[in-house]
Amino acid sequence: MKFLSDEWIKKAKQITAEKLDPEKDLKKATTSLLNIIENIPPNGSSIYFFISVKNGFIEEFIINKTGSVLNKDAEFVVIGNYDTFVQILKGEMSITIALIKNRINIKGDKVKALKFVKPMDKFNTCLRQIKTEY
Amino acid sequence: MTQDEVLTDIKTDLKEAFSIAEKGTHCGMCKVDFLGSGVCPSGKKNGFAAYWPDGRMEIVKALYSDKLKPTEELKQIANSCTVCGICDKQCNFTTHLRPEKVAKALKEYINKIDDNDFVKTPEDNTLKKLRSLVGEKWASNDPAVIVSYTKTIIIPDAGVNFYVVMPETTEEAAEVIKYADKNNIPYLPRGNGTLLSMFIETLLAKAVSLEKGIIFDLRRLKKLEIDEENKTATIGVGVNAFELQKEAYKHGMRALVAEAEAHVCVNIASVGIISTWGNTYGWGSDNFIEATLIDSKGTIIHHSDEELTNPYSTNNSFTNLTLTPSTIITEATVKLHPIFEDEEAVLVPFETLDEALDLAMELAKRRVGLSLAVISSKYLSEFISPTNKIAEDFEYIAKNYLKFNFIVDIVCDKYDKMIVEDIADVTIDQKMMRTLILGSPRFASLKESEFLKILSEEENPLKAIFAGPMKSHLEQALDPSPKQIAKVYDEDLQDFFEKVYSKPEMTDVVWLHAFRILPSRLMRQRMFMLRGGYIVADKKKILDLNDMLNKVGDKYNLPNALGFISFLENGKYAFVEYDYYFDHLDPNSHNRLNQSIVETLQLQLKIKGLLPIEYVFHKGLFRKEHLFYPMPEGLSDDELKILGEMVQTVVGG
Repeated sequence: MKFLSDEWIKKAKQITAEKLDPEKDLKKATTSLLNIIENIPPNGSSIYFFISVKNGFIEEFIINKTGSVLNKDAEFVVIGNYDTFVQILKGEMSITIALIKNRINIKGDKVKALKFVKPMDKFNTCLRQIKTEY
Repeated sequence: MTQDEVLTDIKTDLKEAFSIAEKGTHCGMCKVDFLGSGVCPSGKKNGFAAYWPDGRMEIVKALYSDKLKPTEELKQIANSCTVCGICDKQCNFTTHLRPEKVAKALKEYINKIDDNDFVKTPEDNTLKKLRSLVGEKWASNDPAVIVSYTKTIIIPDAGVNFYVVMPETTEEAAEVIKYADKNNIPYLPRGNGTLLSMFIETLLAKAVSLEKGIIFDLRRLKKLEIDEENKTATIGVGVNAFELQKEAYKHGMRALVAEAEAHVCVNIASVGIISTWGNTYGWGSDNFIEATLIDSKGTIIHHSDEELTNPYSTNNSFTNLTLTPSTIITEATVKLHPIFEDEEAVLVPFETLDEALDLAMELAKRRVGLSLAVISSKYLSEFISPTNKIAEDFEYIAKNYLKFNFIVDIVCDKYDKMIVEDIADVTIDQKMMRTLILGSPRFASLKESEFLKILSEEENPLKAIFAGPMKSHLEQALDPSPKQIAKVYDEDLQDFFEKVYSKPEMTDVVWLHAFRILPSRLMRQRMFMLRGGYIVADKKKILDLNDMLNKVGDKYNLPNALGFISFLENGKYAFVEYDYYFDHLDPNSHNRLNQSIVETLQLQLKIKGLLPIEYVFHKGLFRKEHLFYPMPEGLSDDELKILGEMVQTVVGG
């Protein structure tokens, strides 16, 4: 299914809720994250992807194109372009490498953000199970 | 025979060329006219790395390893070499290699291939667009051009899914970035590629290189204007250190520059220009007054823009690790400094680092010396010796017979010289340095001599040889002359090198410090990796750091030595460069190096008051006041754990 299509978003919510273990995978994390994916082809639009977890349980998982989630008070905001997010989701580039290479910018406490890199990797690994057309 | 069979058959002709090419380390000196011989005419005319000697080496490696098929541009590349021999002279001086043999073998190989067997690389829409932005000639996706950037911005086996652009102006570069951003195409700039070539040999390769997309080769931005009234120079990013220094000297001034081959703007942005001259000239933003940058959206930024948010601000947190630049620097206006008629080099040899630091730190605090550093005998030997073997023997003699392991190396005026000579027991002056440079082959040949055995039995061998009656014996024994040193080169190059060494600057230690043509010899057919960083200038801390880096180097069986220690801020801070040498052709050596990098990074981050070199990368545009005040506290166990996980993901890609 097409990356970031309504169908893909629905599947992403379902698969992460089903497959991710709050303790083992998400390390009982409590945080919120807003990803801003820029330059989405073909017209260069942006998509906003908000997730909040409490004690490792996903509480909110919102993906929209209008930016309404910008009102959410996310602990971290991650901004990057479409190609970078695709590379991360495909497992071609780790979040840390993307950060070190300036491909993504993180706003928020970076020390704390780095603690969530592993749970985020698990999250992305889970999304990788969706047969996605990029 | 099929095309593949023909190629396999003639590939054997490349065997010798391949064995030369793989020893190359991309020191970048073939693009610098440091011997007055000119530079490769083909490279100068055509620009892309493929047309330069080191790029041809990568092409031969790729052909020999079946990673590249002959393309029409490859034919043009091979035949553009006029076999003029300039590359042999430059490379032989630096690395003792003969790249012309590689270029000749490539020409011969290409000329054996049938014209119909060269593949024409199709122009896709991206290339069409890039060519419309920078000009037809200055954008390429030809695999032969792409592979020539291997090891200097792309990793081996990265494939050829790349484009190269060579913009001529900031505006052209900005348009390319706008296009890349809009179309989600990654990109990365490159100066001469020397620093990248070092890191691409390590576990940091994926973090510093480009995995696909657009390579920005910035060599064409060549503006170089001296403002005599304001004592500044405005330079494009394609200007290298040697070119700027040469122009500054013509106007009776000096610039703070890195090694001769380093592109000045790139070096400013990457590491702020780390130099022994930092004692007086400073670091980072101390030396530039304007910079032109392009951000990730293609917007051109000038540091002088009034509405700009403080561009000098950064921090030294361990999370602030950036291994690729966030902006592309295209131009800078740098300060130029006065040159004094009475400048002279004075070297003070010591057996221990402890003693050397005592003197150097005292001088730094008193701001004595325009250029001031502690260097190891390893560094001195490598720099002044024309071959690895001579360097090895020179160092052996220095350590074992003369008991000089460290040198306080000062360039100063006559007043400072008096201070140094007043404090030091023994000094090595310009005349003796000329003797050691031109006499280095003879000096090295004395390794097992009675002369040195007798000398080593003296109570103070250093004093005896550099300040006592044996000084004149040494000068006589070494018979220092351009003719003598030229003998170590291949017979056909001896006349040329005799002329080179007859030039006064080749033995003028002040000139050699300012033009920095010798450090590239550290990459003479092998590689090294920098460790260390900026540290508060506390003697015990520096000694402990030196010991730790020595122990880890030994643990991983890597030849290792202190490089140099220079000073900033009236001796308040020191930069320590410690080097691990390794055979870049030996996978086992790479593996040991990588382990040593991880271990030393973790150990260094625990030290209060030390900012490891990795944390200086891409901080050069900032004020040192932001980076060094206060120095890091040293990481907690919790933070070290996070860092460990971070490093693991970097290693894993």
